[in-house]
Amino acid sequence: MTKVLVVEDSPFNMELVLEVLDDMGFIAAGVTNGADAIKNTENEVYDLILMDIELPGMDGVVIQKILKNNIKYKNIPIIALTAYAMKGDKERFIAEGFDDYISKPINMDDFTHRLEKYRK
Amino acid sequence: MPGLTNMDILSLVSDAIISITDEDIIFFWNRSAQNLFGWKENEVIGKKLSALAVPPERLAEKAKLEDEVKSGKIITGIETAWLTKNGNPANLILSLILARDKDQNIIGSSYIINNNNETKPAGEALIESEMRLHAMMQSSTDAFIIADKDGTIISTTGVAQNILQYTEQDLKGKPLSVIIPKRYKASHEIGVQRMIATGKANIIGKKVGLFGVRKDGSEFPLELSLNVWNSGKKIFFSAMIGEIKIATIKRNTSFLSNFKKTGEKPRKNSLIFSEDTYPDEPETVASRLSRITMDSSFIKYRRKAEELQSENTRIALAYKAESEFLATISREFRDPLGSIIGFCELLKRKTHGDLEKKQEQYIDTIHKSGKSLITLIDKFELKRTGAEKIHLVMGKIFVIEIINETFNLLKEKALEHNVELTKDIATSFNLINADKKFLNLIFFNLMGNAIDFSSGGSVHITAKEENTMARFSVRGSGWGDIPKKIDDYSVVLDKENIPEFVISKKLVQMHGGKIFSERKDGDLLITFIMPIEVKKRGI
Ligand SMILES: [Mg+2]
Repeated sequence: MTKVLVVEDSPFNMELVLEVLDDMGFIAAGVTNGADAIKNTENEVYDLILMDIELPGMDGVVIQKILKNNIKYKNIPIIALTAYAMKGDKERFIAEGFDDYISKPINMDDFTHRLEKYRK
Repeated sequence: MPGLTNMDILSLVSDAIISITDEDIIFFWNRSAQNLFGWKENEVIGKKLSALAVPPERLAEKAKLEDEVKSGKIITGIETAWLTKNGNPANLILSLILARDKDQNIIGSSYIINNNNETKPAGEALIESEMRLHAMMQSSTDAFIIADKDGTIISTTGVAQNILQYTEQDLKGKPLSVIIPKRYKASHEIGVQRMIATGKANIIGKKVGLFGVRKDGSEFPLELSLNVWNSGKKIFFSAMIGEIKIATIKRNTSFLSNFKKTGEKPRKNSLIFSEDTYPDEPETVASRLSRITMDSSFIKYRRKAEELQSENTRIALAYKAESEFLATISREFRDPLGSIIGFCELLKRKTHGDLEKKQEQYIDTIHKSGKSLITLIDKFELKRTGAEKIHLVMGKIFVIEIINETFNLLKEKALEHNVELTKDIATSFNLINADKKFLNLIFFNLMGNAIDFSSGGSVHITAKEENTMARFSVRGSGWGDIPKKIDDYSVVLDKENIPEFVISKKLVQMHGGKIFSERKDGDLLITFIMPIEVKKRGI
């Protein structure tokens, strides 16, 4: 079973993303901030993390760096999930260390297609 | 507000600064920490501080300090020894504060660390740290005031000086209470004392609205956020202040001067209205008459100039309000809309059962409506402009008349700054179809700003026709100094963020024209072109 952690502070997006992941047969858990994300990662082994960028407290980029700098978690793929849809943003997020980038509002077909390759 | 954030300041100081989460994970490590301990930033971010630099026998001490700072205690001047990358012990003096993000949420704690083997004499170190502070303050575009633990002002940024209309010298060494109305002084002093004694303040980290006092004694609404800092063994306060702009409408010329980036010379009193220009000696009837005539024309123009100033404020406020409104709309609408669209797409997949034909049709409609709303929000995002509410009233205008009018409006200001105003209007160029008030405002803004920058020099305006277009240029002899910082004259209008330019640009664009800046014999020339016959339009 593929375990996915969703870090997202908007309840609307959280509900949608958890629902899609559930439909895809993934096991998904959701947290709304960086501190909970780090705590959760310590207690559970995830196969994939979906990370919102604009979050209260630490932003998604910082949380991603903290996780990637930790030998225990550095192999977990992290996908940026963000409303920034400017040209070149994808490159910027990849350069920051993210494994992929999906812009919001999510396109269902694109989203499921892109997540398929992380299925365990 | 752009400029230095707390984190930026932390990365500049020569004290080593290390920020950790509640789980002891390092998320900030400045250059001085790298120098002191030997690890580079990318070697430590995400790691536990205890596992790196803290010897086993010091772990309990570290945990105790972190508990204490969370309970509101000020931790400063703790002597201890940690380990460097080579495994050597380093004698340190620690201070500890809560780490906050830009919204003032607590996100962990920050160690401020000095090397205890410092051989520099105390005095020299002090001077060095003051110079560093000074340099830091100069580069800040925020209105900052830094005070020591007694509330004595150590340093202020240029922006803060502008808001308060004090110079750096005026404020340095004065108690913080000079910028606060007398009626608040008692409670301010109690507050400061409590803050020193307990490290707690009712207003620390929060934005509070109160009143400030300018040098001339006038009061204005002010937003203040206060922070406590520990540097080595010293405690100091930083106050970030923001003027609440609406209240400035009534103050003559303050709209423009508030936005000046660098310390502008204080304005002299008007030559005409200052009382000491009317000596008590008897006047001749003729001179009295001429003075009265002159006065009434100055009063008329002064009133008109004030009206134009408040027009500037109105446009700027409309622009700001609308752009903030649109930003909020787009932020708050996007997520729920994305969810509506997403769930429609999920339903259309029929993973959880088939849909009736009608049901599918309805979902299609919801989906399409949601999509069209998102497209609408994208459009708003693209043209976040407040000029929407400003409508042009077009009419035929005599070019020479409107330029003369502007000269009259600015005569007093030109006198104050000792600036010569000259014009060159093509004789064939008579009429233009434009909004009279706004065309006047464009000239007034550009020339007014040119005068501000050109004390002792000259400001020249030209007007001519080019086929169906009107071409106006303003040249200020002192304007050439603006773009030195950016080395590119063509971006002055956009990059300098001078409100007279921003508003003029908007108004020119609303007239279907364009505005640009260029270099001319070392001077800066601002030119705008607009159709002579213009169709009514908004942005
Ligand atoms: Mg968010």
